[in-house]
Amino acid sequence: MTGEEILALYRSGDRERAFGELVKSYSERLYWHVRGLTGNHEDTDDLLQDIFVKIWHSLPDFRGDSQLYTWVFRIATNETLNFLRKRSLRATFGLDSPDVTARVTDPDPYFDGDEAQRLLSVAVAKLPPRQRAVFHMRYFEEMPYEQMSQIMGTSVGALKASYHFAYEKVKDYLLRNFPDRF
Amino acid sequence: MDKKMDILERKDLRRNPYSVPEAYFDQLQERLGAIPRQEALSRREDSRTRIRPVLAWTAGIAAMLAVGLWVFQGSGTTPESVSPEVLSYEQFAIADLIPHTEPYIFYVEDSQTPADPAEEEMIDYLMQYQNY
Repeated sequence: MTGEEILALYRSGDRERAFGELVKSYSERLYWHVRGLTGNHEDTDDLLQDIFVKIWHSLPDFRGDSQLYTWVFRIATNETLNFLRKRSLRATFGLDSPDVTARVTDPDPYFDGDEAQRLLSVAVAKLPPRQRAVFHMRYFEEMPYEQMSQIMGTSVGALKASYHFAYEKVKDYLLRNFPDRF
Repeated sequence: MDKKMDILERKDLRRNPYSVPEAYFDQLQERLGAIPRQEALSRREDSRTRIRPVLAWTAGIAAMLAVGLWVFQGSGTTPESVSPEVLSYEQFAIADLIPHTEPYIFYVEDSQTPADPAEEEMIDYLMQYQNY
């Protein structure tokens, strides 16, 4: 079902079925999107529950000024960024493990990448949350800047600049710390 | 070739390194699909939880008012049978209800207060304004 069909179903009053179709259409894509940002399966699983609860409660207010897909991704990205910021703060105040990057790949039983990919994930995890989201969406998801702009609420120019800085930071980190690998 | 350019341009680095437990997405869809029902249940529970203390407070205040009313009215006894102590208590209770800034709320008639105008006087008063 397309986004328009889901919305039409929702507005016709069949809200639960419309939500079910929304889950069917977007849950897997959202999972990979969130997983790329958190790097962790358990956190992603928890976050998805929160994200879809928020989507359910926000649906009545959706004005249709963007595509359903973009709107859903915007909620998911914002919730994930809030989660990452809170986790970072907790680490800063010593409430959690001081190394937030440790949860990214070690010891994640659902990480199947090779060593180079693991090191890349570590490097990306060092980026500030918002910059990490930009890097992930452009580098891994190959999302067009226009779509990223609608999701992040930032101009295309600002996103290009942010991606460029993130790209250079990740490269420098890998070359400095793992020169033999890269 | 610039070595720096080689690193992130490698196609293998862009490959998805993550996996999920078996049948995860089917279970995920089931779980997420149940959210509307769960939220409806949770809202009902919340409103029940919120209303209990309100009901308790309301019942308590109603009980206090009932007791107060019973004491105030002297349990339905006639004025003659009411003891001076109770009478003075009632006067005290009434006095306690009168705001000190608005003593005229309870009008007490005495010999100094002019009586209500007679009907004839009222008609005369109105007539003078009709002719005006």
